Amino acid sequence: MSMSTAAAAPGGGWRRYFTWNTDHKVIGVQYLVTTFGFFLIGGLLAMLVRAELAQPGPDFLNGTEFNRFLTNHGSVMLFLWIIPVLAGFGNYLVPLMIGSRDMAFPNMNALSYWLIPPAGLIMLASFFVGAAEAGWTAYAPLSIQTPVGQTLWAVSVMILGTSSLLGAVNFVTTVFTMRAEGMTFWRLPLFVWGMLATSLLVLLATPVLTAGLVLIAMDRVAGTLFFSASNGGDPILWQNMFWFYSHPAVYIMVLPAMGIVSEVYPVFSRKPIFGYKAIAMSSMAISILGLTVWAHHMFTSGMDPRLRIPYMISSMIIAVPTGIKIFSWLATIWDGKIRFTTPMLFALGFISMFLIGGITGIFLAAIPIDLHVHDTYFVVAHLHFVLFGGSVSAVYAGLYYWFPKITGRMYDERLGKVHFVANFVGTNLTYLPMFLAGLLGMPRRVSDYSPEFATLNLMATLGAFLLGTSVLPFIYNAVVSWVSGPKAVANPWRSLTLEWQTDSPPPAENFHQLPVVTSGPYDYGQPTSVPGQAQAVPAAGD
Amino acid sequence: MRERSIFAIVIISMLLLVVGYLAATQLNLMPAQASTRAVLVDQLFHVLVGTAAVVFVLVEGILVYAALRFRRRAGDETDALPIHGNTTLELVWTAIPAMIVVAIGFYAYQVLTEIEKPAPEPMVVEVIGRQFIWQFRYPGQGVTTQELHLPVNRPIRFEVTSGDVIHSFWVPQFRGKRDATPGRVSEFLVTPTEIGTFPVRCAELCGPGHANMTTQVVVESAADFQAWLAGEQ
Repeated sequence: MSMSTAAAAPGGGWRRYFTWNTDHKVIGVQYLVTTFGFFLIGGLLAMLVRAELAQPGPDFLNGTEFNRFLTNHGSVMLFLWIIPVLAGFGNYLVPLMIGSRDMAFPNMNALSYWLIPPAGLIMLASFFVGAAEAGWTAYAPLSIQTPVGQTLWAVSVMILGTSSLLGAVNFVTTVFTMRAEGMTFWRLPLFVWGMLATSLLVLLATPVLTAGLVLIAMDRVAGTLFFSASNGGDPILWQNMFWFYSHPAVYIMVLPAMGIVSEVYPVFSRKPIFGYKAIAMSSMAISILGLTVWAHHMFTSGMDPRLRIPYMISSMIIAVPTGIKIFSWLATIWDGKIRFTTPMLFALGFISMFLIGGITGIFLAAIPIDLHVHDTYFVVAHLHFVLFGGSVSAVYAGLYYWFPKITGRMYDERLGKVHFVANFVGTNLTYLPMFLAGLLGMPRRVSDYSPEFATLNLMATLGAFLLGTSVLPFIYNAVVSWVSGPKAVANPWRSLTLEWQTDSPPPAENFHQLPVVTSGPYDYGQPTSVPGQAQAVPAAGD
Repeated sequence: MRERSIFAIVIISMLLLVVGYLAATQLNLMPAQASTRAVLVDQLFHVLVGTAAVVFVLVEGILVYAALRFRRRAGDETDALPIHGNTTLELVWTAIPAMIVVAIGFYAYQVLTEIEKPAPEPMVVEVIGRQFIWQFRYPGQGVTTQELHLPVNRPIRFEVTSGDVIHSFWVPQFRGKRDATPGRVSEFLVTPTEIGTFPVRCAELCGPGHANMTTQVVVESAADFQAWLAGEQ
């Protein structure tokens, strides 16, 4: 017992987190803390952007500086925060949830993590040589002409894509080959299904972006002409290669998050997840369909008009498995015994805000409407509702939910609730006005705007400042609780999934004895389900 | 009990329909309509707003109701019922959204076909985006300007291209934009219907001057347009 608490205890084992360590739990924490640092940097960039946009007219940023801040805000948030933080949860939880001692390839796992800090430094170092300024989408030919930092940006993203790809290889191999005895696919927790669906996308789509980035880098430094229209190249080629990855990327950014909330609802309703198989299959459906929609980002590009139609259809169809999930989650809490812990509050906030993002996605899929709102603040609002209101809420839910498991200590519940309220109000105040601004005529990525949009922008800026402040109670809570919070028991939430059937924090080998699984992960309400469905039977060959 | 449930469902459905109708007809979220396509796009938009309002109120309503009604009673540490699913319910909430998106897809396709139907004799205007100005060429007239003038009620075919990086030609009141891509000429069809002056904005990040790459479009009577054109030659 003392060995396991020392494992995560600050001052004792904290140095491990700064080394090459192959324990998936250490790597998971490295991911979570590092990416959260990048979240704060990306958030700071957002505060600067919103400060400039608080009022019409140039204030303290010129056009170049503004474009650099918005480009790196997006790039840091997507490539250095939301994609890897979810991989961090996957790293920490998947082996525990399936009853194994570690991931399939522990050294490759450490490599996946250690690619991130240098890649992040490269992207941020670009500010010293002229940071990337063509948006996170880096459309050519603009991205071929921008200063040196754009090349550093491309190199950084290639490294991060490699990290993500190696992680996906690890997740798939681990789930397919290292499940404990009795852990059939239909007994996997839905978070694991989410990681599987995500990994499929990472494996299939990331290489295409990497290839595109190589072409960009070559056009920039090697004199090639892939995207040069006047020399037989085509800028549209970049758009296709970029979006072939970057649309599935948004599902990479949301499927694990949906997996997190799928874990939270049953525990805090004391009720099984409703429609387990439907949710699992919907994750796979979203993943596969997600590979077929990318050109909905290109409806205004001048692409062959007939080709737009299949993308409208597939983009609308994706609403169906998404809806199945939302209705299943509602049916889970319906007739439950809901406990409003901080993770549950963030999980409920997830549904309400992701819904707004999802509904507005239908508007964007409808080509005639997209032709009006494409590249306007309508899109900015949509994407932030799904990514911030959605995925980030789920990340917070996960951080609070698994905090006692990871640290062995309990966070402060009151501070957690303060964080939730500030986050919920801030998100809505920041992004709701943006829908209107876009519809009424405000393009995106503008450092200045027509005075008719002044009130909407001021509201959005005030909301953004509230969001910026809202992280403070979280950081305080996390740090102080980790250092000196009350010790947590192994299973404070009385959850039935395997990670809770071992110590908090888990011992180095995860389980004193490998579990044998005899029932599903959400069998609440059964008279025979006992926390600790894992039986203390030594598995053969352990 | 069943009668009460059916009664509740009927009342809620009627309320939702009212919410949807009001949202579709009373919410004025778009700028002025200044083209034929704007009218059709807005009709589609308002139908979607109404549908979205119904879905939003329904789902959020269920969420809030459930959060309030099914709170854990103080001191109750027991589990709830072991309900894993309901096949009928799941089929319904798969089928109904599927039907809704199919219907929306068909309607959107219809609107798209209508707004992009080529006109018999459109007036052609070339639009060239350059960092950070818009140029408008009237082929055959020898006129190139930076302020767009158009005769009202005449079908226009914009031929949009770029002289450097990708821009996007957008007039919000016309409802539609087309990217200005170097090496490519992209068509964009508009019939302006309102006399007036409307903003032209760039809608694709094109460099430091992107926010200022604006000009205006002056829609005027055929006579005024001819007079202006003659003056520019």
